[in-house]
Amino acid sequence: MIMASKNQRSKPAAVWHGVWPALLVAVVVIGLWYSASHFWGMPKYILPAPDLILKEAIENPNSLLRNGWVTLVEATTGFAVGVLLAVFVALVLDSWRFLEKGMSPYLVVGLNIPIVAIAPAVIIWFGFGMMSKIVVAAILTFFPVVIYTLKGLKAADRREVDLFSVLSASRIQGLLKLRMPSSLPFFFAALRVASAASVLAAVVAEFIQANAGIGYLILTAAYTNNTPRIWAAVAVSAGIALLFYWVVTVAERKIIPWHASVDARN
Amino acid sequence: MSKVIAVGAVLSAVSFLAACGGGSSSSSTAASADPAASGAASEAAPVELAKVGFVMPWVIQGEEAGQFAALNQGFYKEEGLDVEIIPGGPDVRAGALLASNSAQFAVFNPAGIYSNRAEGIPVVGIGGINQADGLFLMCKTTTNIKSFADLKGKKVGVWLGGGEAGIQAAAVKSGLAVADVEWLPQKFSMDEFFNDAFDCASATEWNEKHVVYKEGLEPSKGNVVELRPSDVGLFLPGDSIATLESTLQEHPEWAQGIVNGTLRGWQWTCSSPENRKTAAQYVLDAAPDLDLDLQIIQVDEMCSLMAQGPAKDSGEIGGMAQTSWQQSADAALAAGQLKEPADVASAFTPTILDAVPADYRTITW
Repeated sequence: MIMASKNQRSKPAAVWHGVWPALLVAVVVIGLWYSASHFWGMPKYILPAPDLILKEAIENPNSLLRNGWVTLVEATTGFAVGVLLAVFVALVLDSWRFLEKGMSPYLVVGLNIPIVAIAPAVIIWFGFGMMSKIVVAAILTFFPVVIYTLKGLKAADRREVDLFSVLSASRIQGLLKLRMPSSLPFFFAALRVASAASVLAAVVAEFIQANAGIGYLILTAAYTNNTPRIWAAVAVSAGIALLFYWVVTVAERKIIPWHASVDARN
Repeated sequence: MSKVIAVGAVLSAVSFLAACGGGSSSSSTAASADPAASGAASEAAPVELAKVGFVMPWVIQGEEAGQFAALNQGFYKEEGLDVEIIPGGPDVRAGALLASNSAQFAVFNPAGIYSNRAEGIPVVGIGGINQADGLFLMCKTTTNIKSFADLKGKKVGVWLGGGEAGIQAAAVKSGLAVADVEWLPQKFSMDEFFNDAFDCASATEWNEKHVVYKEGLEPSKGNVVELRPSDVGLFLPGDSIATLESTLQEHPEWAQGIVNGTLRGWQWTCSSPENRKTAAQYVLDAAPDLDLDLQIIQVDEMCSLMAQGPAKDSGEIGGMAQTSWQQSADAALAAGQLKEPADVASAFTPTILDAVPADYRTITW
């Protein structure tokens, strides 16, 4: 009982211990920023004061929430579609070496696609609504996930592969019980990259053509010189990306707590 | 195996979240003709409407108020059309949207029509909206620039890909070569104007001008100079309704409906301050993040641009004057936007415009 209450006390302390450096950085940066805006004459069009941005967010929460929701839906849907497709393709390529050799250079090219170049074409192909933004987010999710997952599927320990072979494990058993679990750290590393990329993709696609979403909000705010709104929208977009990243990280901790990368972060 | 199931569960949860949002968001994308249906046409006979997509020149804003008025007042519906208004944007290639049949009509300026035709997309103008494109330069008086001739060696912001033609042509007409001026790509904001990164920046009559005025910079206060191509005798038409030649041949009734409805929409919009406000509100219904007051100003400026030049002389809106279109072609060529002179006569046709009922083309402004 004494032990339990001690643990309960120590948990918030541990959280505080982990969080306070980030909070300190935030306080210092916002303090400098506030001073630059109010005391050192930094003009609004370069960076509006933090309190102006907060005021915009408080006065127009509906606009930020409505557009943030659109971006969240586009990014999450694109992310989910991209990940599912990437895992499927990785499994196919992994079991078909010839196809993997043929496709590998193009996957690397795909990883480096400039989003601003493909987004207008995707809008032509998939229309003006959310679908085209979802497709752009899915494309930017697909390539890192397929490349890392494919790499992960080959990352199983040689000795374990030999053991499976000695024990006459079937191909499916080897895949499900050894190679897929071994690929998970790579898979999650890719998900973390893709989670931020999918939000960015949706925002950029909205910037090109949309009438809703964070990218649209930033464009129209810039067009009417409403800089506090631009930065409030940027904050919402960053919040969505952080939320996304956090979900992936929590999932990773639950699913592969045994892995060194998770352990180190803990 | 349980890990695999867990990964699947995470993805399913994400998909579910996405699915939750999917339904609610479809209404927040392109503005459809439904508001018109609910507003004005409950009494209309159940006729088969042709679905057409109409691409706007920019994101939804007061520049397009006449089209929204036509939609909400049921004018397109009366023409047998179910019009989907498709917002434009910085990198929306309307010509490609027409060529791929993703949309059937679009708003271009004549230079955009010429450049699409030069690329092999046979876009043809069928009706005018703005008689003047409303693009000009704003320069702070501290730059000592008083005319286009003073731009030599100066940094001038332009919207590349169409917005530069009229301004560059005005500089050329003032005795400069295009290369005499340092033309810089301008963002879709006036930031570089405010922070003096540019000596002059491009502006539209309906948006940037008022953004700058709002910051206390305007000619009446003596701190800003405005240079308009019209100062040197250049009158370039702006927003014009266009379609593909094939659409015009196969569905002239659609083209007629779009031009009739749009001109009628603008006529209705410009006819009274109340209507201009209502039209601005229609715009806001489709794009609620906009500022109503600024949109009303935009609508006022658009009505002014529609009633200028040839429209003022003829008393009719929607006209496409050969001389103005020729000036656009010359400007696009001078600016290097076109490699070869455009065939102006084939880039627009008056047939649809001539068949618009005279009642729809009068304007009270």
